[in-house]
Amino acid sequence: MGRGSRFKFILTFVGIGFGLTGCMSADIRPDLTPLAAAVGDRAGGAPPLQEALDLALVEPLLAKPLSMDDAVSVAVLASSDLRATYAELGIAQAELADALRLPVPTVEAVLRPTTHPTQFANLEFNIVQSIVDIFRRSDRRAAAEKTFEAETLRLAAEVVDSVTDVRRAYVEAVATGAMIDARREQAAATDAAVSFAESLHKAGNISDLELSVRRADHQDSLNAVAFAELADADTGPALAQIMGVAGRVPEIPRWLPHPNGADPGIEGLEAAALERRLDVVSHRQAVASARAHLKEVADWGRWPEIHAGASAELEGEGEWAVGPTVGLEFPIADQSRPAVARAVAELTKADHELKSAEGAVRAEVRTAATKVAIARRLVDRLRDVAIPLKRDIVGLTQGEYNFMLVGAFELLDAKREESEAVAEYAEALHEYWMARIELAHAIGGADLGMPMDEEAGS
Amino acid sequence: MNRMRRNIFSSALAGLGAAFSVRAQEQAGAPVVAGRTGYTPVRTLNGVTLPYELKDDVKEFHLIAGEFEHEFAPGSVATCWGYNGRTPGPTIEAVEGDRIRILVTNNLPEHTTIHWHGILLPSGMDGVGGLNQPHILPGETFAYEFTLRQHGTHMYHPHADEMLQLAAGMMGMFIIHPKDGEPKPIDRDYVMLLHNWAMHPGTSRPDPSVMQDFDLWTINSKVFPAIEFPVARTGERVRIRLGNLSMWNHPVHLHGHQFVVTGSDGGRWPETLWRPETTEIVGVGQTRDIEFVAIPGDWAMHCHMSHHTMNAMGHEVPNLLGSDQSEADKKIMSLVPGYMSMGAKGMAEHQDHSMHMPGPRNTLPMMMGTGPFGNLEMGGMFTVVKIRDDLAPGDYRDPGWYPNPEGTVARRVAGPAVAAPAVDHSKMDHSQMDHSQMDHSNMDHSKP
Repeated sequence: MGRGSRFKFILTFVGIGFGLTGCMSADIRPDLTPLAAAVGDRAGGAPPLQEALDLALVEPLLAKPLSMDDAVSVAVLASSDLRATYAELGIAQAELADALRLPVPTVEAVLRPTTHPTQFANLEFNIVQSIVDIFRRSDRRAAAEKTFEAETLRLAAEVVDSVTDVRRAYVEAVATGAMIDARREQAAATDAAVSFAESLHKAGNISDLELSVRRADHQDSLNAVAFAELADADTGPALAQIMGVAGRVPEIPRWLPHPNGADPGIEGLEAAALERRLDVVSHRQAVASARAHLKEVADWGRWPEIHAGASAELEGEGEWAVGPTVGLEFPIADQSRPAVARAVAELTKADHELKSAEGAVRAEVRTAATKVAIARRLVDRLRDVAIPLKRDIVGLTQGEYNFMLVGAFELLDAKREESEAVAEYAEALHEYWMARIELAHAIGGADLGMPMDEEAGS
Repeated sequence: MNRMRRNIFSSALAGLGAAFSVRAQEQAGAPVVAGRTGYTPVRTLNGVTLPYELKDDVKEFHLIAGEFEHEFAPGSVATCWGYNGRTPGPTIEAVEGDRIRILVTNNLPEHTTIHWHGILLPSGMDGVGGLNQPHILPGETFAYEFTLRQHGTHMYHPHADEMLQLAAGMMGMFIIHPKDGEPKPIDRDYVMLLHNWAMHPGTSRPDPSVMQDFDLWTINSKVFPAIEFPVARTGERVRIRLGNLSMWNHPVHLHGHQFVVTGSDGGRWPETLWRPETTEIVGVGQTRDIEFVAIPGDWAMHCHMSHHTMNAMGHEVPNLLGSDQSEADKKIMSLVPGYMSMGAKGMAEHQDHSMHMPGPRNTLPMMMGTGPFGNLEMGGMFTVVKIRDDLAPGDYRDPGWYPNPEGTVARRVAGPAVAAPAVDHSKMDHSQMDHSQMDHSNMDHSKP
């Protein structure tokens, strides 16, 4: 081989190697489509995840009173945590691409010094490709895809968890605001009682003790307002933060709505949860993945590694000796047995983790559904029975007041009792919607159907 | 016709009635005349006299104990117990020396008896259940039979589960006229039985467990202005027989007269024991007869325990007098629309207030009644004795308000011609009022 031919041969040899490497390059932007498909309808009224990187959609949502679905939408668009999750999907996609690339041949170059008077060194080039890798490629691709699916499910579960966290923060923020209103109304009643008591005291009609009792009563009410304000103080910022708009003060309703229609019954919920829960689906994928891995290990583990390739060596006379190479691992011991044992153990582990997850989901669904049922009875009874009764009592007490059968203190006490019932209602609505959120989460994320066009406590 | 001759005529009529064994009419104020000797029948205001049948020279009466609805005044009806469907039960009226038989049928859910309060009789007829007789069980009829050996103003009431049955309204008057007639004949003879009721506001059945804090104070189980007015003709001799089966004493005061206390359940006292009074305490379980010669006019007659002349008022209502509630008003009205302060200048405004502002169901306002000059601000044991020159004998109809002779009415000599209205209605939120529950019957629409 002449000098020019040798040079061309080397270039071709290296070019093949880099050419094959270049075929495996990947897109650097995350494609959210698989994540959106995995999330499905589990994020309620959130915008499609494909739009999640468009921050321009945030401002219109914040420009109006925020519904729960709006809050979720803002979070999907603006939450840094969720955007980190989207980035994680990019990592997973890169890893998948890496796993799916063609088996890469190994290129070796050997330079050996010689004692030959005219040749400084022996030069040798080898290119070797594992034959077994080529045959195992389809199985490895399947396993890699399963790993990617599992990772996508994990990330989708994070999205659903984040949606649940936003919902919790939203309900918390509205509920604590409502409690402030209720406590303030109670304080208005005790304030009026103090004014009334002061007028009587000034006229010499009640004692210092009676006046002090009323004043202390009012102080208790003011304390209750302060405690409600304390409870409320961090809910707004927390909501803004979790939505990814920290520092903003989103406008939210003053009351949680009363639920519309019937709540989902326990029947069928567990089955639905097992179907929809991404963590369960993920565990199921892990089982499938482990099973595939076991199959791969079992099928290929006993095969010795076989390499094939080509070798080019510069002979002492300046001639290149070119020829094929074959390598075969010599199976002195059974190399596959530990790998199969490990794969079996991993499958067993995945299987038990799936069963454990399913059991936990069943319990979670049952608990959440029970709480929803109890809380629903409570809110219905408070709205339909207790509060109307307390309002009736105010009216009836006013009748007695009109006939001088009771005084204004009793009337104001009745009003305060009514406000207390309203406060209980606010608390019960809080419990109810929290329970609904937990149930929605327990069954794998769902639209809550929270009616935002009416305010229950207004 | 002088009074004595009228009584003789009455006696003749009574004999005629007895001969035909005619059942006397159970009708309030009917000129029923009965007995061996002439007498002026009593008139039980808002009540009746119990008829009888003469059987073998025995006057046989029939009382049926039972439950029924009773109205204290329009706006307050209660489920009460009593006799022959009323409380007080029909007045039993007989004559000293009469042999009487009283059949008592028990239609109550529990046993009962009747004690003939103050009457001299055999021990076994005294009516204390378990002591003098077996109890009269539900559905049973017992006969009490004895000869009347006295005259006077008496009462009857249960002596079985006494506190409950009395609290529920079981009581009546038992009048025994003297067999020899009245040395000083009576032209009009009224019966008033005083009682108290734990008729809590908003309820419709008397509470028998109350011992002191009663809600309604009644004359013949009615409160003013539902109590029938006693009327008389100028110069007539009027007797009012007062009995007290309540749990409080009642100093009964008659305006415009010095009456004489002439008797009790000990009979009509000898004149040497009569004493002039204007107020006579009728103690618990006592009876008192007062007599007077009628003087024309409208004369208040009432218990002088001032809270007995009003209906229920809360005992815990704070003293509002002299308080400036304007600041509290604003705050309370913002919480309770329709609220209106009261009592700062006094409680008189309550009567007007109660006409516009609804009170509890089945509950009477604390103050009621209007007269020719405005609100009377009364209730409970209050009535008006109406005496007129031109009232016909035997006419018990309400003659209306007294036409005061010229120059005999207290007159305003200084100050504003028109008093400021007691209630500033401009502050009231009428939109919150339920007029369907109001008693407009007491409203004086003549006032602006």
